Amino acid sequence: MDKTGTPYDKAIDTFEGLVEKPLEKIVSGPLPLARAVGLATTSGYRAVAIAESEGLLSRSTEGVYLRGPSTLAAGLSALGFGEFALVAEPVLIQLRQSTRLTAFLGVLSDGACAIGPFSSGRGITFVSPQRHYSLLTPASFDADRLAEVSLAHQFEAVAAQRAVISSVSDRQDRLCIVGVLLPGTREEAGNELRSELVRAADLLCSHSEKPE
Amino acid sequence: MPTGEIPRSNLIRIARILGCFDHRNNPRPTHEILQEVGMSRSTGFGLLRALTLRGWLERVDHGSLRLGPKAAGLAFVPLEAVDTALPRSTAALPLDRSSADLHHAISEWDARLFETVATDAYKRAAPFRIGFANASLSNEWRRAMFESMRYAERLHADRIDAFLVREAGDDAGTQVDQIDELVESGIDLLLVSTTNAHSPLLDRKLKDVADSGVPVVAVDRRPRDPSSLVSFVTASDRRIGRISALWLAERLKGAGRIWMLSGLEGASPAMRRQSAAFSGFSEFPGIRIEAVTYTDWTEEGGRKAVQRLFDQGSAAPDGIWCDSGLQGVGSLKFFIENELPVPAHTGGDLNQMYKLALYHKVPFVALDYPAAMGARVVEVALDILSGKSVPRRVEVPVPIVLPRGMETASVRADTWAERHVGWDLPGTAILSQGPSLRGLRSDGENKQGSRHG
Repeated sequence: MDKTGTPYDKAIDTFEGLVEKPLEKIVSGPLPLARAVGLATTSGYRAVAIAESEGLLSRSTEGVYLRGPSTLAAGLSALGFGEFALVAEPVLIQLRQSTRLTAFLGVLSDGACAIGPFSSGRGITFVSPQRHYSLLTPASFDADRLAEVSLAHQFEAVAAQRAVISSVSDRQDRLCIVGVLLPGTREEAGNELRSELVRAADLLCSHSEKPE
Repeated sequence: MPTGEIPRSNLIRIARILGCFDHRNNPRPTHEILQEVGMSRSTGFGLLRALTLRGWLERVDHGSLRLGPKAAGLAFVPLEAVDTALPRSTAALPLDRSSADLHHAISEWDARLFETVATDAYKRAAPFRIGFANASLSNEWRRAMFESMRYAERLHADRIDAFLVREAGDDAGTQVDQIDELVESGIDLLLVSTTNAHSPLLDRKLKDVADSGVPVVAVDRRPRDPSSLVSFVTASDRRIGRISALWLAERLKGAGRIWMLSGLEGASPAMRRQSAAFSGFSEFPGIRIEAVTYTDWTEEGGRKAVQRLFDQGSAAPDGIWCDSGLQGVGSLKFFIENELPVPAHTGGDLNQMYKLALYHKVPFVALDYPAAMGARVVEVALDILSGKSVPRRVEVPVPIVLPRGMETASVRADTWAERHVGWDLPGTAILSQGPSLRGLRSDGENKQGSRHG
């Protein structure tokens, strides 16, 4: 139904496979990735190399494939906050290092929270986020302050995740936020954590583009 | 995309179509998209239609397009590969650290990391001619960084016409002459890893190159005067120095005698790591630094430094701080070969360091200075020549590597040494080399597992 019956469909299938597979499994080496996407060896090797060259994929120092900088830039632009693509990585890694919690950039819209780039916490503070949450409490978020919020999996009404968030930039009906995910056993966010988050938010705010 | 370049495959076209919208996703006329991506009307309209049907683009009135709802999902990007074995095997540690703890170990916001540079003035048509004035290939790390660069050069071969390299043998005068040679050969951009941070001659030369309109990007080692640079690709030497010192001090319960073995005297990473380590040790009044010496980042340098300190009548220290395993290996081998108890060490980088320390159960922390910055600097160079904004300073992440059971109150592992070591790799391998290391790996196609389910 959503296909054109042209050779472009196959190219889009390949593109989708290459940007999705690294989210599903740890893959290092072009051939394992090509196979995981279901590509033939020769064309698969070439497709993986092109995807890396175009920034759709990148590789960690251990050779593990990740979504690349072009993917992030396109995703954030689609959400209307492309200006954060260059600074998201250093800010989120610094925030994760200073709090040891999963640090993320997200976009709130109509009570839904789309998770963007994230740097995962370590040890018992490790939380791997879902792509989408619903903002459970508070029902509305005051863009001028930092808040502790409860998030639910989409289409569910039970809190699945707590987070502390701060607004970074707003655009029409969307609000860009930076936050950290609190592990289940953590009592509440302390002052130090809050000040680190404010610091990250301030840095991102300084890169926010002013309304046209 | 670079003017005049025709994309060779639909995958390239897709990447470039998705990359041609502005930060706010303002709609663009179809003909403008086709022109920017370099597609004919027949191919272009078909591909745009297919992408629109699948939700990657959406049609706005008057024949304009913008990124569609599916493209928003591309923002979900894990910034590092998560070692999923780590969380469940980490010993229980206090969840809420005191404020002193938070600042003690990790917090290191650096405003320079968030400055970006517009590079429209340097935009030109691909393929490009890039010159690299390299300080030297004098140790394994430098060879690994160069291999990483070569990997990126091959990956982007269609956009690089020539990649010219000069190697100065760590001599500033030679490097100045080599920069002249490279510029005279008509390069579009100069990469440099400087021989010495204190060379006014080199500072002036790089300023001249920048003033002539050739963008200059430093990697690993920068000149003292950074004003000539568009960008500097590095890793946090401060993090390496500070965290390794904190770990050693905490491992020794805040009291003990330390020998400090730095790398190459005058090299900027060595200076910054040493300075950060001094600062870290200074927070522990019971820590006494008995010796500070240089090793040229070589195994022989490390071995001789330790030998010399023993010859001077010093008793074995409680800990040896090395800013890299390049010399740390020499120090470790000295103790092992002389059948002396091996004190706690710091310093990663070299596979042999991990092998020795793990085999002999030496307490150690490692923060690998990422040789993969070689590939990263090539990407930054290509972005500059394509007119894309780049960070003024790019820091390739430096994970903390510890053997199991060696975490301290402030310093916890990003990955375990037992998983990080390459038992199947030669001792000379630099584990932070990135994908270009795979040629050395015997199995070629390694691990697969589940993640981010």
